[in-house]
Amino acid sequence: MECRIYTDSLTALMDGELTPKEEVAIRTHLSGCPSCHEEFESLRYSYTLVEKVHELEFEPNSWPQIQSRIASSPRPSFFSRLKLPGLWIPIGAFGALLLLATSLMMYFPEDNTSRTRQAFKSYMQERQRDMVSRGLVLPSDRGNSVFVHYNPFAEPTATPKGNPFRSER
Amino acid sequence: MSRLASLFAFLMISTPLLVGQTDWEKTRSIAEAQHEIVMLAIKNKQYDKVLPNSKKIFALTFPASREHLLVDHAKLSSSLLVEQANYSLAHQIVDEAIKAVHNNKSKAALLKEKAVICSREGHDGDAMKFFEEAVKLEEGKP
Amino acid sequence: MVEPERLDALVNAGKNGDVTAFSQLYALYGKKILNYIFRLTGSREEAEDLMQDTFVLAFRNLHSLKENAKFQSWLFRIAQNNVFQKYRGKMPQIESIDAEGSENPVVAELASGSKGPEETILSDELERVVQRVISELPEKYRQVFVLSAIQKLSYQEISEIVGRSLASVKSDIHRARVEVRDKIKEYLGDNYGMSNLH
Repeated sequence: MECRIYTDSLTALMDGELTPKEEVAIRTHLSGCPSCHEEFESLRYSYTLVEKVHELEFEPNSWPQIQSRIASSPRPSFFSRLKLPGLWIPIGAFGALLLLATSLMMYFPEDNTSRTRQAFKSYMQERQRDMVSRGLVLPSDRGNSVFVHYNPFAEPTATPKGNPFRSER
Repeated sequence: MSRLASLFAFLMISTPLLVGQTDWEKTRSIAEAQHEIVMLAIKNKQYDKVLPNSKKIFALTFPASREHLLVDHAKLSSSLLVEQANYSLAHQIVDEAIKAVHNNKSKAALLKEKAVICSREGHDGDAMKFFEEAVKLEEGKP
Repeated sequence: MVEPERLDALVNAGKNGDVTAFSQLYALYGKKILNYIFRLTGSREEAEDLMQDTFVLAFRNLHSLKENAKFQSWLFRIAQNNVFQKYRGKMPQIESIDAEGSENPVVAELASGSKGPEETILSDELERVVQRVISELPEKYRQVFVLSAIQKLSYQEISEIVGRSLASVKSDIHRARVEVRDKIKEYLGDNYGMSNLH
Protein backbone atom coordinates (compact mmCIF):
# COMPACT_ATOMS: atom_id res chain seq x y z
CA MET A 1 0.00 0.00 0.00
CA GLU A 2 2.81 2.44 0.88
CA CYS A 3 4.71 1.57 -2.28
CA ARG A 4 1.88 2.89 -4.42
CA ILE A 5 2.66 6.39 -3.23
CA TYR A 6 6.08 6.03 -4.77
CA THR A 7 5.33 3.96 -7.87
CA ASP A 8 2.73 6.54 -8.97
CA SER A 9 5.53 9.10 -9.14
CA LEU A 10 8.17 7.00 -10.88
CA THR A 11 7.34 8.49 -14.25
CA ALA A 12 7.54 12.01 -12.91
CA LEU A 13 10.93 11.09 -11.42
CA MET A 14 12.22 9.97 -14.81
CA ASP A 15 10.78 13.07 -16.47
CA GLY A 16 12.46 15.37 -13.96
CA GLU A 17 9.14 16.72 -12.74
CA LEU A 18 9.55 16.22 -9.00
CA THR A 19 10.66 18.76 -6.43
CA PRO A 20 14.08 18.04 -4.88
CA LYS A 21 12.37 16.96 -1.67
CA GLU A 22 10.07 14.55 -3.48
CA GLU A 23 12.98 13.17 -5.45
CA VAL A 24 15.00 12.47 -2.33
CA ALA A 25 12.02 10.71 -0.75
CA ILE A 26 11.47 8.46 -3.73
CA ARG A 27 15.12 7.64 -4.32
CA THR A 28 15.48 6.80 -0.65
CA HIS A 29 12.51 4.46 -0.90
CA LEU A 30 13.86 2.85 -4.08
CA SER A 31 17.19 2.12 -2.46
CA GLY A 32 15.39 0.12 0.21
CA CYS A 33 12.55 -1.53 -1.70
CA PRO A 34 13.52 -4.21 -4.23
CA SER A 35 10.08 -4.47 -5.83
CA CYS A 36 9.79 -0.73 -6.44
CA HIS A 37 13.34 -0.69 -7.70
CA GLU A 38 12.48 -3.43 -10.17
CA GLU A 39 9.42 -1.51 -11.33
CA PHE A 40 11.56 1.58 -11.79
CA GLU A 41 14.14 -0.29 -13.86
CA SER A 42 11.43 -1.89 -15.97
CA LEU A 43 9.82 1.47 -16.71
CA ARG A 44 13.21 3.00 -17.40
CA TYR A 45 13.96 0.28 -19.92
CA SER A 46 10.74 1.00 -21.76
CA TYR A 47 11.77 4.67 -21.82
CA THR A 48 14.98 3.76 -23.61
CA LEU A 49 13.05 1.71 -26.15
CA VAL A 50 10.59 4.48 -26.90
CA GLU A 51 13.39 7.00 -27.23
CA LYS A 52 14.90 4.89 -29.98
CA VAL A 53 11.83 5.39 -32.13
CA HIS A 54 12.72 7.52 -35.10
CA GLU A 55 10.99 10.71 -36.00
CA LEU A 56 9.78 11.62 -39.46
CA GLU A 57 12.34 13.68 -41.27
CA PHE A 58 11.25 17.21 -41.95
CA GLU A 59 12.23 19.26 -44.96
CA PRO A 60 10.72 22.74 -45.07
CA ASN A 61 9.54 21.96 -48.61
CA SER A 62 5.97 22.84 -48.00
CA TRP A 63 6.78 26.43 -47.06
CA PRO A 64 5.96 27.80 -50.53
CA GLN A 65 2.50 26.23 -50.34
CA ILE A 66 1.95 27.68 -46.90
CA GLN A 67 3.20 31.04 -48.09
CA SER A 68 0.84 31.07 -51.03
CA ARG A 69 -2.10 30.12 -48.81
CA ILE A 70 -1.20 32.94 -46.46
CA ALA A 71 -0.86 35.37 -49.37
CA SER A 72 -4.17 34.35 -50.92
CA SER A 73 -6.16 35.16 -47.80
CA PRO A 74 -4.12 37.39 -45.54
CA ARG A 75 -5.22 38.05 -41.98
CA PRO A 76 -7.18 41.23 -41.36
CA SER A 77 -5.14 44.31 -40.48
CA PHE A 78 -5.57 45.98 -37.12
CA PHE A 79 -7.90 48.67 -38.39
CA SER A 80 -9.97 46.37 -40.48
CA ARG A 81 -10.38 44.10 -37.43
CA LEU A 82 -11.81 47.11 -35.58
CA LYS A 83 -14.55 47.36 -38.19
CA LEU A 84 -15.82 43.91 -37.26
CA PRO A 85 -19.13 44.52 -35.48
CA GLY A 86 -18.74 41.52 -33.23
CA LEU A 87 -15.71 43.14 -31.70
CA TRP A 88 -17.58 46.07 -30.21
CA ILE A 89 -19.83 44.07 -27.91
CA PRO A 90 -16.98 42.52 -25.96
CA ILE A 91 -15.12 45.86 -25.98
CA GLY A 92 -18.19 47.58 -24.57
CA ALA A 93 -18.74 44.90 -21.95
CA PHE A 94 -15.10 45.06 -20.93
CA GLY A 95 -15.27 48.84 -20.61
CA ALA A 96 -18.34 48.65 -18.39
CA LEU A 97 -16.73 46.05 -16.17
CA LEU A 98 -13.57 48.13 -15.92
CA LEU A 99 -15.60 51.15 -14.81
CA LEU A 100 -17.45 49.09 -12.23
CA ALA A 101 -14.26 47.52 -10.88
CA THR A 102 -12.55 50.91 -10.59
CA SER A 103 -15.53 52.35 -8.70
CA LEU A 104 -15.61 49.40 -6.32
CA MET A 105 -11.89 49.66 -5.67
CA MET A 106 -12.20 53.32 -4.85
CA TYR A 107 -15.18 52.72 -2.58
CA PHE A 108 -13.93 49.65 -0.71
CA PRO A 109 -10.44 49.91 0.72
CA GLU A 110 -8.09 47.02 0.08
CA ASP A 111 -7.47 44.80 3.10
CA ASN A 112 -5.20 41.94 3.95
CA THR A 113 -7.97 39.38 4.24
CA SER A 114 -7.87 38.20 0.65
CA ARG A 115 -4.07 37.89 0.78
CA THR A 116 -4.30 35.86 3.98
CA ARG A 117 -6.97 33.64 2.47
CA GLN A 118 -4.82 33.03 -0.56
CA ALA A 119 -1.81 32.22 1.61
CA PHE A 120 -3.89 29.86 3.71
CA LYS A 121 -5.27 28.14 0.64
CA SER A 122 -1.72 27.64 -0.65
CA TYR A 123 -0.69 26.32 2.76
CA MET A 124 -3.53 23.77 2.77
CA GLN A 125 -2.51 22.50 -0.65
CA GLU A 126 1.16 22.37 0.36
CA ARG A 127 0.26 20.55 3.57
CA GLN A 128 -1.69 17.92 1.68
CA ARG A 129 1.15 17.46 -0.82
CA ASP A 130 3.64 17.21 2.02
CA MET A 131 1.59 14.57 3.81
CA VAL A 132 1.25 12.57 0.62
CA SER A 133 4.93 12.82 -0.26
CA ARG A 134 5.93 11.79 3.25
CA GLY A 135 3.68 8.79 3.02
CA LEU A 136 1.30 9.85 5.78
CA VAL A 137 -1.80 9.79 3.63
CA LEU A 138 -3.09 8.46 0.37
CA PRO A 139 -5.43 10.88 -1.30
CA SER A 140 -8.69 9.27 -2.22
CA ASP A 141 -11.04 10.23 -5.01
CA ARG A 142 -13.76 11.30 -2.59
CA GLY A 143 -11.72 14.19 -1.24
CA ASN A 144 -11.06 12.68 2.16
CA SER A 145 -7.74 11.13 2.99
CA VAL A 146 -6.79 7.57 3.64
CA PHE A 147 -4.20 7.46 6.37
CA VAL A 148 -1.30 5.13 5.97
CA HIS A 149 0.22 3.59 9.04
CA TYR A 150 3.58 5.09 8.23
CA ASN A 151 6.26 6.57 10.37
CA PRO A 152 6.85 10.21 9.40
CA PHE A 153 9.75 10.58 11.84
CA ALA A 154 11.92 7.76 10.53
CA GLU A 155 15.41 8.40 9.33
CA PRO A 156 15.42 8.46 5.54
CA THR A 157 17.32 5.19 5.11
CA ALA A 158 14.99 3.20 7.32
CA THR A 159 11.78 1.59 6.18
CA PRO A 160 9.85 1.83 9.35
CA LYS A 161 6.20 1.34 9.82
CA GLY A 162 3.78 2.98 12.09
CA ASN A 163 5.35 5.29 14.60
CA PRO A 164 6.98 8.71 14.43
CA PHE A 165 9.12 7.95 17.42
CA ARG A 166 10.40 4.59 16.25
CA SER A 167 14.10 4.85 15.58
CA GLU A 168 15.80 3.24 12.65
CA ARG A 169 16.79 -0.30 13.30
CA MET B 1 47.73 -0.13 35.95
CA SER B 2 47.98 1.85 32.76
CA ARG B 3 45.29 -0.36 31.20
CA LEU B 4 43.03 0.40 34.12
CA ALA B 5 43.75 4.08 33.68
CA SER B 6 42.89 3.88 29.97
CA LEU B 7 39.67 2.06 30.73
CA PHE B 8 38.83 4.63 33.39
CA ALA B 9 39.54 7.46 30.94
CA PHE B 10 37.41 5.77 28.31
CA LEU B 11 34.53 5.40 30.75
CA MET B 12 34.88 9.02 31.86
CA ILE B 13 34.56 10.20 28.27
CA SER B 14 31.94 7.80 26.99
CA THR B 15 29.65 7.49 30.00
CA PRO B 16 28.04 10.93 29.61
CA LEU B 17 27.38 10.15 25.96
CA LEU B 18 25.93 6.74 26.78
CA VAL B 19 23.82 8.13 29.55
CA GLY B 20 22.62 10.95 27.31
CA GLN B 21 21.79 8.45 24.60
CA THR B 22 20.02 6.21 27.10
CA ASP B 23 17.86 9.15 28.28
CA TRP B 24 16.77 9.89 24.75
CA GLU B 25 16.22 6.25 23.99
CA LYS B 26 14.03 5.97 27.05
CA THR B 27 12.06 9.05 26.08
CA ARG B 28 11.76 7.92 22.51
CA SER B 29 10.66 4.45 23.53
CA ILE B 30 7.94 5.78 25.85
CA ALA B 31 6.74 8.23 23.21
CA GLU B 32 6.68 5.45 20.63
CA ALA B 33 4.49 3.26 22.79
CA GLN B 34 2.20 6.12 23.76
CA HIS B 35 1.81 7.17 20.15
CA GLU B 36 0.67 3.65 19.27
CA ILE B 37 -1.86 3.79 22.09
CA VAL B 38 -3.17 7.18 20.94
CA MET B 39 -3.50 6.06 17.32
CA LEU B 40 -5.27 2.89 18.30
CA ALA B 41 -7.61 4.75 20.63
CA ILE B 42 -8.53 7.20 17.84
CA LYS B 43 -9.10 4.43 15.32
CA ASN B 44 -11.27 2.55 17.81
CA LYS B 45 -13.03 5.81 18.78
CA GLN B 46 -12.08 5.38 22.43
CA TYR B 47 -11.83 9.13 22.79
CA ASP B 48 -11.54 9.15 26.58
CA LYS B 49 -8.12 7.49 26.21
CA VAL B 50 -6.75 9.86 23.59
CA LEU B 51 -5.89 13.02 25.51
CA PRO B 52 -4.52 11.39 28.67
CA ASN B 53 -2.12 9.25 26.63
CA SER B 54 -1.12 12.13 24.38
CA LYS B 55 -0.38 14.21 27.48
CA LYS B 56 2.09 11.55 28.59
CA ILE B 57 4.07 12.26 25.41
CA PHE B 58 3.89 16.01 25.94
CA ALA B 59 5.09 15.60 29.52
CA LEU B 60 8.35 14.06 28.33
CA THR B 61 11.44 16.18 27.84
CA PHE B 62 12.31 16.48 24.19
CA PRO B 63 15.55 18.05 23.07
CA ALA B 64 15.13 21.03 20.75
CA SER B 65 16.33 19.00 17.80
CA ARG B 66 13.51 16.48 18.31
CA GLU B 67 10.69 18.89 18.97
CA HIS B 68 9.38 18.42 15.46
CA LEU B 69 8.40 14.87 16.47
CA LEU B 70 5.92 16.33 18.92
CA VAL B 71 4.53 18.53 16.18
CA ASP B 72 4.16 15.55 13.88
CA HIS B 73 2.44 13.50 16.56
CA ALA B 74 -0.02 16.35 17.17
CA LYS B 75 -0.62 16.80 13.46
CA LEU B 76 -1.20 13.12 12.85
CA SER B 77 -3.53 12.76 15.81
CA SER B 78 -5.50 15.90 15.01
CA SER B 79 -5.77 14.98 11.32
CA LEU B 80 -7.22 11.59 12.20
CA LEU B 81 -9.64 13.20 14.65
CA VAL B 82 -10.71 15.77 12.06
CA GLU B 83 -11.45 12.95 9.63
CA GLN B 84 -13.73 11.56 12.31
CA ALA B 85 -15.24 15.05 12.81
CA ASN B 86 -14.06 15.18 16.40
CA TYR B 87 -12.85 18.77 16.15
CA SER B 88 -12.98 19.53 19.85
CA LEU B 89 -10.54 16.75 20.74
CA ALA B 90 -8.32 17.70 17.82
CA HIS B 91 -8.12 21.24 19.21
CA GLN B 92 -7.32 19.94 22.68
CA ILE B 93 -4.42 17.84 21.46
CA VAL B 94 -2.92 20.70 19.49
CA ASP B 95 -3.38 23.06 22.47
CA GLU B 96 -1.47 20.63 24.69
CA ALA B 97 1.24 20.37 22.08
CA ILE B 98 1.56 24.17 21.90
CA LYS B 99 2.15 24.23 25.66
CA ALA B 100 4.81 21.55 25.34
CA VAL B 101 6.96 23.05 22.59
CA HIS B 102 9.43 25.86 23.00
CA ASN B 103 10.60 27.14 19.67
CA ASN B 104 8.58 29.51 17.52
CA LYS B 105 8.79 27.33 14.43
CA SER B 106 7.03 24.49 16.28
CA LYS B 107 4.44 26.84 17.74
CA ALA B 108 3.75 28.34 14.35
CA ALA B 109 3.31 24.89 12.78
CA LEU B 110 0.82 23.99 15.52
CA LEU B 111 -1.08 27.27 15.15
CA LYS B 112 -1.40 26.50 11.45
CA GLU B 113 -2.77 23.12 12.44
CA LYS B 114 -5.38 24.91 14.57
CA ALA B 115 -6.24 26.95 11.49
CA VAL B 116 -6.71 23.76 9.49
CA ILE B 117 -9.01 22.30 12.14
CA CYS B 118 -11.10 25.50 12.23
CA SER B 119 -11.29 25.54 8.48
CA ARG B 120 -12.51 21.96 8.38
CA GLU B 121 -15.08 22.86 11.04
CA GLY B 122 -16.33 25.68 8.88
CA HIS B 123 -15.04 28.45 11.16
CA ASP B 124 -13.18 30.38 8.51
CA GLY B 125 -12.80 33.54 10.56
CA ASP B 126 -11.04 31.68 13.36
CA ALA B 127 -8.96 29.80 10.81
CA MET B 128 -7.66 33.06 9.37
CA LYS B 129 -6.92 34.38 12.88
CA PHE B 130 -4.79 31.38 13.79
CA PHE B 131 -3.07 31.37 10.43
CA GLU B 132 -2.18 35.05 10.70
CA GLU B 133 -0.85 34.50 14.21
CA ALA B 134 1.31 31.64 12.93
CA VAL B 135 2.70 33.75 10.09
CA LYS B 136 3.51 36.62 12.49
CA LEU B 137 5.34 34.18 14.74
CA GLU B 138 7.31 32.83 11.80
CA GLU B 139 8.24 36.33 10.74
CA GLY B 140 9.32 37.23 14.27
CA LYS B 141 6.76 39.99 14.59
CA PRO B 142 5.21 40.74 18.03
CA MET C 1 15.03 24.82 -27.80
CA VAL C 2 14.73 28.29 -29.28
CA GLU C 3 16.30 31.12 -27.31
CA PRO C 4 13.60 33.22 -25.70
CA GLU C 5 14.85 36.48 -27.21
CA ARG C 6 14.96 35.04 -30.69
CA LEU C 7 11.48 33.53 -30.30
CA ASP C 8 10.14 36.84 -29.03
CA ALA C 9 11.63 38.72 -31.97
CA LEU C 10 10.33 36.26 -34.55
CA VAL C 11 6.83 36.16 -33.09
CA ASN C 12 6.65 39.94 -32.89
CA ALA C 13 7.82 40.21 -36.48
CA GLY C 14 5.22 37.63 -37.48
CA LYS C 15 2.55 39.63 -35.68
CA ASN C 16 3.54 42.61 -37.79
CA GLY C 17 2.98 40.55 -40.93
CA ASP C 18 6.59 39.60 -41.61
CA VAL C 19 6.18 36.36 -43.53
CA THR C 20 9.93 35.74 -43.76
CA ALA C 21 10.21 35.82 -39.97
CA PHE C 22 7.28 33.44 -39.76
CA SER C 23 9.00 31.06 -42.20
CA GLN C 24 11.80 30.78 -39.64
CA LEU C 25 9.25 29.76 -37.02
CA TYR C 26 8.00 27.16 -39.47
CA ALA C 27 11.56 25.85 -39.90
CA LEU C 28 12.09 25.72 -36.14
CA TYR C 29 8.83 24.07 -35.12
CA GLY C 30 7.74 22.22 -38.25
CA LYS C 31 9.35 18.94 -37.34
CA LYS C 32 7.78 18.80 -33.89
CA ILE C 33 4.33 19.58 -35.22
CA LEU C 34 4.68 17.13 -38.09
CA ASN C 35 5.71 14.30 -35.77
CA TYR C 36 3.05 15.12 -33.19
CA ILE C 37 0.29 15.00 -35.75
CA PHE C 38 1.80 11.87 -37.29
CA ARG C 39 1.70 10.07 -33.94
CA LEU C 40 -1.91 11.09 -33.46
CA THR C 41 -3.10 10.19 -36.95
CA GLY C 42 -0.73 7.45 -38.05
CA SER C 43 -0.52 8.87 -41.55
CA ARG C 44 2.31 10.88 -43.01
CA GLU C 45 0.10 12.40 -45.67
CA GLU C 46 -2.44 13.53 -43.14
CA ALA C 47 0.34 14.86 -40.97
CA GLU C 48 1.75 16.94 -43.82
CA ASP C 49 -1.65 18.41 -44.69
CA LEU C 50 -2.61 19.15 -41.14
CA MET C 51 0.80 20.63 -40.43
CA GLN C 52 0.30 23.10 -43.27
CA ASP C 53 -3.16 23.95 -41.95
CA THR C 54 -1.64 24.50 -38.52
CA PHE C 55 0.92 27.01 -39.70
CA VAL C 56 -1.51 28.88 -41.93
CA LEU C 57 -3.93 29.18 -39.04
CA ALA C 58 -1.12 30.17 -36.69
CA PHE C 59 -0.01 33.02 -38.94
CA ARG C 60 -3.57 34.29 -39.32
CA ASN C 61 -4.17 34.25 -35.58
CA LEU C 62 -0.76 35.23 -34.30
CA HIS C 63 -2.16 38.52 -33.03
CA SER C 64 -4.25 36.53 -30.50
CA LEU C 65 -1.16 35.04 -28.82
CA LYS C 66 -0.71 37.11 -25.68
CA GLU C 67 2.52 35.66 -24.36
CA ASN C 68 5.12 35.10 -27.05
CA ALA C 69 6.96 32.66 -24.77
CA LYS C 70 3.96 30.31 -24.98
CA PHE C 71 4.20 30.07 -28.76
CA GLN C 72 5.13 26.39 -28.74
CA SER C 73 2.24 25.19 -26.57
CA TRP C 74 -0.13 27.48 -28.49
CA LEU C 75 1.03 25.97 -31.76
CA PHE C 76 0.62 22.42 -30.46
CA ARG C 77 -2.86 23.32 -29.37
CA ILE C 78 -3.75 24.52 -32.85
CA ALA C 79 -2.34 21.28 -34.30
CA GLN C 80 -4.37 19.24 -31.87
CA ASN C 81 -7.55 21.18 -32.61
CA ASN C 82 -7.00 20.64 -36.31
CA VAL C 83 -6.79 16.89 -35.74
CA PHE C 84 -9.93 16.98 -33.62
CA GLN C 85 -11.83 19.04 -36.16
CA LYS C 86 -10.87 16.74 -38.95
CA TYR C 87 -12.04 13.73 -36.99
CA ARG C 88 -15.01 15.56 -35.51
CA GLY C 89 -13.95 15.70 -31.90
CA LYS C 90 -12.53 12.20 -31.75
CA MET C 91 -8.96 11.16 -32.13
CA PRO C 92 -8.40 9.06 -35.22
CA GLN C 93 -8.51 5.34 -34.75
CA ILE C 94 -5.20 4.47 -36.22
CA GLU C 95 -5.18 1.30 -38.22
CA SER C 96 -2.28 -0.81 -37.30
CA ILE C 97 0.55 0.67 -39.24
CA ASP C 98 2.60 -2.41 -38.94
CA ALA C 99 2.02 -5.00 -41.58
CA GLU C 100 3.56 -8.29 -40.72
CA GLY C 101 5.84 -9.35 -43.48
CA SER C 102 5.04 -6.45 -45.79
CA GLU C 103 7.08 -3.40 -46.58
CA ASN C 104 5.32 -0.54 -44.87
CA PRO C 105 6.88 2.59 -46.39
CA VAL C 106 6.51 4.67 -43.27
CA VAL C 107 8.09 2.05 -41.08
CA ALA C 108 10.83 1.56 -43.64
CA GLU C 109 11.52 5.28 -43.71
CA LEU C 110 11.55 5.56 -39.95
CA ALA C 111 13.76 2.59 -39.41
CA SER C 112 16.19 3.25 -42.20
CA GLY C 113 19.62 4.42 -41.47
CA SER C 114 23.15 3.28 -41.79
CA LYS C 115 22.81 0.03 -39.95
CA GLY C 116 23.75 -3.54 -40.77
CA PRO C 117 21.05 -6.03 -41.76
CA GLU C 118 20.65 -7.57 -38.32
CA GLU C 119 20.44 -4.20 -36.64
CA THR C 120 17.90 -3.05 -39.21
CA ILE C 121 15.67 -6.06 -38.56
CA LEU C 122 15.76 -5.51 -34.84
CA SER C 123 15.24 -1.81 -35.26
CA ASP C 124 12.29 -2.42 -37.62
CA GLU C 125 10.68 -4.76 -35.16
CA LEU C 126 11.07 -2.31 -32.34
CA GLU C 127 9.73 0.52 -34.48
CA ARG C 128 6.68 -1.56 -35.38
CA VAL C 129 6.03 -2.61 -31.84
CA VAL C 130 6.29 0.88 -30.40
CA GLN C 131 4.13 2.42 -33.10
CA ARG C 132 1.53 -0.27 -32.66
CA VAL C 133 1.52 0.20 -28.93
CA ILE C 134 1.07 3.98 -29.27
CA SER C 135 -1.77 3.48 -31.74
CA GLU C 136 -3.54 1.18 -29.32
CA LEU C 137 -3.47 3.67 -26.47
CA PRO C 138 -6.79 5.29 -25.54
CA GLU C 139 -7.14 8.82 -26.96
CA LYS C 140 -6.59 10.58 -23.66
CA TYR C 141 -3.38 8.72 -22.99
CA ARG C 142 -2.06 8.83 -26.56
CA GLN C 143 -2.00 12.62 -26.57
CA VAL C 144 -0.10 13.07 -23.33
CA PHE C 145 2.16 10.13 -24.03
CA VAL C 146 3.30 11.54 -27.34
CA LEU C 147 3.80 15.00 -25.89
CA SER C 148 5.85 13.76 -22.94
CA ALA C 149 7.69 10.70 -24.21
CA ILE C 150 8.35 11.75 -27.79
CA GLN C 151 8.07 15.52 -27.85
CA LYS C 152 9.68 15.79 -24.39
CA LEU C 153 7.52 18.69 -23.28
CA SER C 154 7.21 19.65 -19.63
CA TYR C 155 4.10 18.64 -17.72
CA GLN C 156 3.18 22.30 -17.38
CA GLU C 157 3.27 22.80 -21.14
CA ILE C 158 1.34 19.60 -21.72
CA SER C 159 -1.27 20.76 -19.26
CA GLU C 160 -1.65 24.01 -21.23
CA ILE C 161 -1.91 22.17 -24.53
CA VAL C 162 -4.48 19.58 -23.52
CA GLY C 163 -6.35 21.91 -21.18
CA ARG C 164 -6.30 19.65 -18.14
CA SER C 165 -4.87 20.16 -14.65
CA LEU C 166 -1.26 19.38 -13.88
CA ALA C 167 -2.29 16.62 -11.47
CA SER C 168 -4.52 15.02 -14.07
CA VAL C 169 -1.77 15.22 -16.70
CA LYS C 170 0.79 13.70 -14.34
CA SER C 171 -1.52 10.82 -13.54
CA ASP C 172 -2.41 10.20 -17.18
CA ILE C 173 1.22 10.27 -18.28
CA HIS C 174 2.11 7.71 -15.67
CA ARG C 175 -0.76 5.44 -16.68
CA ALA C 176 0.13 5.82 -20.33
CA ARG C 177 3.76 4.96 -19.64
CA VAL C 178 2.83 1.89 -17.64
CA GLU C 179 0.46 0.74 -20.35
CA VAL C 180 3.10 1.25 -23.03
CA ARG C 181 5.63 -0.68 -20.98
CA ASP C 182 3.17 -3.53 -20.38
CA LYS C 183 2.23 -3.75 -24.05
CA ILE C 184 5.81 -3.61 -25.28
CA LYS C 185 6.59 -6.41 -22.84
CA GLU C 186 3.66 -8.38 -24.17
CA TYR C 187 4.73 -8.00 -27.78
CA LEU C 188 8.40 -8.53 -27.25
CA GLY C 189 7.97 -11.40 -24.81
CA ASP C 190 11.33 -12.85 -23.87
CA ASN C 191 13.13 -10.16 -25.82
CA TYR C 192 12.07 -7.49 -23.35
CA GLY C 193 15.13 -6.45 -21.45
CA MET C 194 17.57 -7.67 -24.07
CA SER C 195 20.12 -5.06 -24.91
CA ASN C 196 20.48 -6.08 -28.56
CA LEU C 197 17.19 -4.43 -29.32
CA HIS C 198 18.76 -1.00 -29.12
